[in-house]
Amino acid sequence: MSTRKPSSAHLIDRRHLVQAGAAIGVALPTLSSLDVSAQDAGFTFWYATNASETAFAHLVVDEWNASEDVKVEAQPVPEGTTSEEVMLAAIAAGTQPSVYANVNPSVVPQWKGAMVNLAERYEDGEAFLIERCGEDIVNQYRSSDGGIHQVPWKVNPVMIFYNTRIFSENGLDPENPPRTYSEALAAMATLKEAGITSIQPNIDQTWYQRYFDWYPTFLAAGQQLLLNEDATQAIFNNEYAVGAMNFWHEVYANEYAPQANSEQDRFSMGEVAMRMTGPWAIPDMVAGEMLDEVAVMPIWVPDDAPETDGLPFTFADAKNLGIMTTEEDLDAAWEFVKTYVSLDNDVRFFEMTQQIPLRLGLAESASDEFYAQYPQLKAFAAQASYTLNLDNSDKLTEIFGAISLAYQSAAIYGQQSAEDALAEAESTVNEILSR
Amino acid sequence: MNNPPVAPGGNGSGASRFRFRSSDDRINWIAYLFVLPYVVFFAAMIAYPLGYAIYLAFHEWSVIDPAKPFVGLDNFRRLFNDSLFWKSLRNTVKFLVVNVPVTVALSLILAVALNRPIQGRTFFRAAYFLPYVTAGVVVSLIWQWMLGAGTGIVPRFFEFVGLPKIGWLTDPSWTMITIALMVAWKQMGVYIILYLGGLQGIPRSLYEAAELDGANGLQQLWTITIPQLRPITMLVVLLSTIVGFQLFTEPYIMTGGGPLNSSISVVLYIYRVAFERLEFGYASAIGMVLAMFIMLTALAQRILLKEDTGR
Repeated sequence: MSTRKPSSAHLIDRRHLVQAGAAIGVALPTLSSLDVSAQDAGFTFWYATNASETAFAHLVVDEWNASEDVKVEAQPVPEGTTSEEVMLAAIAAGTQPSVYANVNPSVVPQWKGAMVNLAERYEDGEAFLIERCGEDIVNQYRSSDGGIHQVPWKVNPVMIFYNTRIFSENGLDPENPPRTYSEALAAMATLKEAGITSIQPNIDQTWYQRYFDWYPTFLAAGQQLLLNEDATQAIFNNEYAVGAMNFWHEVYANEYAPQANSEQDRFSMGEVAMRMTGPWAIPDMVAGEMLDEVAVMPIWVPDDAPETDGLPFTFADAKNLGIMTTEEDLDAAWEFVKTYVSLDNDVRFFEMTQQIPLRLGLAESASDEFYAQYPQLKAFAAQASYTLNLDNSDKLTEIFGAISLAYQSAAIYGQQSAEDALAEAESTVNEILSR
Repeated sequence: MNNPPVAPGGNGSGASRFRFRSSDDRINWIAYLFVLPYVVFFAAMIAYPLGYAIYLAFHEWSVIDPAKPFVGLDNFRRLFNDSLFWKSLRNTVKFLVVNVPVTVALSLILAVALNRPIQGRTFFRAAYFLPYVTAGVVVSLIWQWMLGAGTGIVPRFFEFVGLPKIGWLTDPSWTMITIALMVAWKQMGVYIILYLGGLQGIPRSLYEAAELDGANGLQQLWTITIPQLRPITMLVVLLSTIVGFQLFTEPYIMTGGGPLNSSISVVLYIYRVAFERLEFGYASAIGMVLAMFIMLTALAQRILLKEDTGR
């Protein structure tokens, strides 16, 4: 019979337990101190990652933190495929910021349960927004229940940049760019003869890519959104949608645009003649040292569209501010938001980022020197009054997914007629809305 | 027969019995302690999410709204009428039809080559394994650049040598084939290792006998190597099928599931339903059905493997 000695494993185990206990003892106060420092920070604020918006956010936040007791901890939206996906993951995990400055209005119907109703929570909420943006704009961003879950902040009207040097060199008048579908196709045919790619929209199926090709042309043609007023039925399958679809089909069928994406911004490299996008693209053109040869034209319209004093409508591509319900100090968050979109900061934002704040009379507030530096922005500022955004539906991603599929089928690959593709999309959208 | 353990110097008192059990239990306790991290990991990262996904499959949940109304079998009924789900399943099967044979063939051929005393053998073994250990996102982005129409090195090479122009990532009939070939290239490193292990277990005497009978290299490969490696091949088929059913990163990064939904896999569709449409209940139901498909396929292959090896 052998006697059992105290095993070394047992001794080691006991020693490790003591070490583990010590580690936990050290870790707990550290964790609790982290928690305290987080409380000291006041609240968190996420903003878009581009360089100019980052600079603006830091400027405002630094000024706020220098003068206010409740501190703001600011950081860019963490990296992800889209900021919407990142934010959604953060909401699901409970790690969302208190204030978010890159709210895509298309997701607000889905997110509004996690966002503060500004009209209800703040006495001066609605009045402040109406004074800044005007009632029409505020109503565009009102939720279906009448609440206001986002601060209408800025728009990036989608227009068409064009390279005046390429136009001139190929016999196209840069002072009179094409206005209608036929004029645009004729200009593209001329450019093709010279071996120049006219335009290169992103052909991905991803739902939001249609914001930068078919959707602006659809809005410009018909000046209407995709759904009826209470967002229960599709109303987009009409002559304007078909006309816009057929126009884009001509662009691809005649190889004026390649059925491919480019890893580089070929417009800013001076290789492509036109680009349909918003004013946020201007810094790329500055970096490409080609802004001097760039001008801006409105979205093309059907041949029978009458010429008017105003401009054809386009997609606003708005980005807004939101306060999340998880924030404890909602009053401080609201004060910060009001500061972020004050008159001074709106003008600074316009001049620093070349994006258009949704403030009444903003265009007149910017300096002459600024417009001399970025003459293209005058066109965008004028276009801001002729914008439409998106339907107030929590199914927008699915709806644009169906339209994107129709666009790929009819316009890019020509596998279906525009009529058939849009009829299918209409049926799919109505099925989505009926769920 | 083992006698029941008796405590040293034990007199049958309760105290000594306690000490004895305490000592024995302590050994178990240490073992459990070693197992604990994995148990915690398994419980938190697999068992709980799995259980929650099963629960969600019978409910509706948008993440934003805490309400999760019970919907019974509605999510499953909807799934059977969802044309995009069936399209994603067909795409996944198309992927498997291309990917699995290519993976098996390439891995086998390269393993046989690397089993021979060639110069730089260690380098090649490491080189073929490198894509497997490289992050899928990185590999996908690199291939996306290489295959990009107009600027990619692959289309330019095809143009240079006069081969036909292929829309690797833009032609709906090619996208899934392209992804299947790329994934075969990425995954084959690990299967080469499996085959190399199998090759080293084949008795040398079989090849010597074949040589005496006058069999050439190709005949030896066909009549000895491939039959001897059949259990490994079945394992490779099983593993690559399971990996294929879980296809996500490559179509997500390289094509976004397009064009025309030609490269949307079942898992990518689940992701879209959950994170773009916020229908987590329906996404969970699709996940359940996919899990059933994987289990049934694995079971069928396991039965085939048993029949084939006589075990």
